[in-house]
Amino acid sequence: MGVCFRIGIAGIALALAVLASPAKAECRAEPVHGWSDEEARWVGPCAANQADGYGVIKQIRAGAVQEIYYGRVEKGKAVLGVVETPDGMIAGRWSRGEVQETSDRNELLSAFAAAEKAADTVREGFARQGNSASAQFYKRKAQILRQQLD
Amino acid sequence: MLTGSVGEHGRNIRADVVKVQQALKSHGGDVGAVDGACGRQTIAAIRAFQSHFMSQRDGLVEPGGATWRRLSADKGLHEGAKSYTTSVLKTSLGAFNPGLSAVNNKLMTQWFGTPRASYGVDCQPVTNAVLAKNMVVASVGALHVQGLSPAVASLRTVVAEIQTRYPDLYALLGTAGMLCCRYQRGSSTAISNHSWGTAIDLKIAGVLDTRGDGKVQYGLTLIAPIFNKYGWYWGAGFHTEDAMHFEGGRALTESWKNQLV
Repeated sequence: MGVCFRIGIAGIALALAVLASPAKAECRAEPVHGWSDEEARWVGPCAANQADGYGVIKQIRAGAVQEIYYGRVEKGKAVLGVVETPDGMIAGRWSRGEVQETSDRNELLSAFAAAEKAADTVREGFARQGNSASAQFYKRKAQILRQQLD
Repeated sequence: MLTGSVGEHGRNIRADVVKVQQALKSHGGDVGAVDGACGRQTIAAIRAFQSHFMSQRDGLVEPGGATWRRLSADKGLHEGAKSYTTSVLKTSLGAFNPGLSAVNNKLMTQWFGTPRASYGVDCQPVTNAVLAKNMVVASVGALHVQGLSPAVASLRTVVAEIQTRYPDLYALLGTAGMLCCRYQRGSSTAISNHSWGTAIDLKIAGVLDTRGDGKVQYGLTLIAPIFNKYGWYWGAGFHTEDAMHFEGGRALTESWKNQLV
């Protein structure tokens, strides 16, 4: 069952499209980067009612997307990926919703690779649904994430 | 704008703590170094600030709450004001990289040789014997780096000046790596400029400037002139803006080839 919700622009826009989520309503993902529980919305594969696999967790506040986590999630918890904020990107391994600060470039490359794969996975889901606007949005995000580190 | 609460029992996300510390400082608060860590001194400064208008001081600054509204108003930072990670339009900047030009794969190979015989998508070690002998691992201020010895020495000078001129910003600097032998993403021919250990990517408060969006973090605009002063080229000048990236400019890098042992 798909869940439809509208997202808007807050400050620096993170999203422009009206997105339809392919995730199940009961699929839970834990918040990252200080978001509240109610703000976190998962788009991606689900196992035992928990987010599991490559996908995105969106922070929805007052109906608008504020930040987006792209990456791998295990049993509802973010483990490797990137949070896109209006100020830039926060990348690395994640534990208990917080990034593990690192200057290890291979680890950062892994985080961006996971983020790119997540954006591409979500793009595929929207493309299958015929939602070309959202598919295009995540295609562009995958490209940005791929090219962040030279 | 704060994304989470800061202070006693707050979420204390580093970027938010920086904003609160900067605001407290602009109001005369004693927060010590603006370092993004919410310790006892920051909480004490929040309580001291709250003593002007709250009878029940809780030491907590919440997004949109009374304390943040007062901190971000008046003479202090206002919502949308420039914290070091706030993005500004590249087109709003004056001239940068004056008299400097960037290197390219051809020049780097001509001056230093190829770092490796083969490359992949991940960082791999330098196998060129001369280059490998000249790679050093060092702490440059708060930055832990591995790079070409003369480049690291020059970086040390740059970072020391940043520390002197912008101590708050210096405390927030981190790196996303210096030496990294690999292909540029999506290419099977072009090598990353990091392959020779003469380039560095910087983070501010753990946040990487988004490449190619035409915007740059305010803090990077402050330190870029210092890098330029010592001959480093700022990646904001690339065809695809890469503002977190700094690398030895052409003249500086050419001078490094004569310093190898």
